[in-house]
Amino acid sequence: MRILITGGKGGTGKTLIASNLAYLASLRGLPTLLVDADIGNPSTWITLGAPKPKPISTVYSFRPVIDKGKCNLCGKCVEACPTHALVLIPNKDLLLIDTLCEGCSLCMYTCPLKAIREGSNIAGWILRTQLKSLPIIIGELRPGERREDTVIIELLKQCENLEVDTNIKLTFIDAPAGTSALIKKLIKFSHKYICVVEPTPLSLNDFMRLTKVIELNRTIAVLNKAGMSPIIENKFRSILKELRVKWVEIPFLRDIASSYLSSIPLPDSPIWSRLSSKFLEILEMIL
Amino acid sequence: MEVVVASGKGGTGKTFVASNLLYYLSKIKSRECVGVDADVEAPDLALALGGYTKIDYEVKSHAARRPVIDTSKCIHCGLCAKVCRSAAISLVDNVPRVNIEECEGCGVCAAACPVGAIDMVSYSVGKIVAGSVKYGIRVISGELKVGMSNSGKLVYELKLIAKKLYSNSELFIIDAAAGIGCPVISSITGADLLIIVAEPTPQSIQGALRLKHVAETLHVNYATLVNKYDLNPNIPKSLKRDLNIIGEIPFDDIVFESYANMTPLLQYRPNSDVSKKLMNIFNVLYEDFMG
Repeated sequence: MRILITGGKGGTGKTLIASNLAYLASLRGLPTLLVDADIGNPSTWITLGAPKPKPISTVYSFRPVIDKGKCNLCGKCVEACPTHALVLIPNKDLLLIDTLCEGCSLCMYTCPLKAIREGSNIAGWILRTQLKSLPIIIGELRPGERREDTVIIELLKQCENLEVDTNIKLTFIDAPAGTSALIKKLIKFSHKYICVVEPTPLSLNDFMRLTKVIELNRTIAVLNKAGMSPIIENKFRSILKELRVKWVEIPFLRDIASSYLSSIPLPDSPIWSRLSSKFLEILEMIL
Repeated sequence: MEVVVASGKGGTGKTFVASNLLYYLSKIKSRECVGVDADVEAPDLALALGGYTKIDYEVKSHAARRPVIDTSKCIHCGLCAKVCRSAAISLVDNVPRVNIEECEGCGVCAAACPVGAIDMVSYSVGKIVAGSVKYGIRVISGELKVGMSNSGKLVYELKLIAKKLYSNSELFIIDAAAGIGCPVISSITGADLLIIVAEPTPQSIQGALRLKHVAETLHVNYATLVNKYDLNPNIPKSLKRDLNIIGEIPFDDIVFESYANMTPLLQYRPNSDVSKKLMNIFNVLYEDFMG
């Protein structure tokens, strides 16, 4: 079973919950896998203090290679490029601005002289590490690259392979912030969902956006940083009741931030006695 | 000029900084400024300023295109599905079917189709709303339909419309999305200054360094503000230089409280320690970059 940890807004505690739940499940003897799909800034392994991940594969995206001998500078590719990544200097040169290129390859199919051929560019990497019996696989986007989808597609492929090869029963997936097509892809890939929210009107707004695409009867909510704002918390509680979504509340403790900072998994930290019942409750609810 | 507020890691305080900076520029410095909410997947900037009190402009975004396949012309060669880099076209009994949520709208399928059976048509992936919030501050927001792709194109269009609509404005404060992906690159492209908001955690510092890398690639100046610095006051000097850290603000529950009240902290608790430190940083930024 795959469990996606999402929430909409950034910084509500998705990584904290995903990393520590996966670690807890593995400590209890369940064959568990942790997948870090927050490819812009993957930090599950830092949160758990796992060894530095090593690359297991490189992901490539398309880049045009211009054959300057064949190109007659007609400018058809420049007109076609949806992101204005090709620039024509009339009668002189055709240039690619790499940071604008989304790697769609339309230029290659548009060129009447077949002067553009397929080249590639590193879009990102898939990395792996391990904390005791918990394997962690990570997608990482190369800074400056736009094709997040190619990295996610490869990450999910590697996830499927690892699940089969090592007989994984439980996969926790840490999602990036947001509510785009990428999140929808991760939602489709997963079976159950944990929405991590915090008591601010902003988090509530983003959570409501998520409810449009997520199956609520397969969802539980974690109201993190509880105690910070009773009014918004009550709003959350009544909305969750109305939506028939079960939830667990995790109190705001400054010590959680300290443990996050020192890269110690919560189950190994001195504050675990105050949190263990909450995390076990989430685990039981989801299983 | 365009100033982008971004972070790499989510939830470090981008919208907090952007909303207070807008309040500072508009109320304290009396400058013509506009807030641009480019976090189109989770647009909250107007909310942090109390919500829209008046909407002046609302338009569906037309930045995205999608393929329409004329099945009577289709010869079932399958080339369209093969050339699509987003795996957005699948063949069902040899008939191509477009999954619109995966589609980036590039038009490769239409260009590759040997019989011209595919047309690209524009369609809406979201909307752009502009108006005023409390204190008379003007905000324009992009809002992506949930589950859609093309957030980068929506941001690009949002910035174009903002500049057209508010052509007499001197300062655009752009609140970017979390991460370093396509919508963030679109936010930073062409900006004059990037303000990186970081926390002193290894997770956030990693994100800030990755974002700095993006800024360098795009040739945009950057400066970093450390939020909740007292969680870990011992940031190495080399990192301070590397990220161009220009100021630090402490952790305080009143920040959360100001959020819950949908009021910028500079208005909510102007005499608090956090407000004073924030004002100092804004003064430095103002003198160095926006004067």
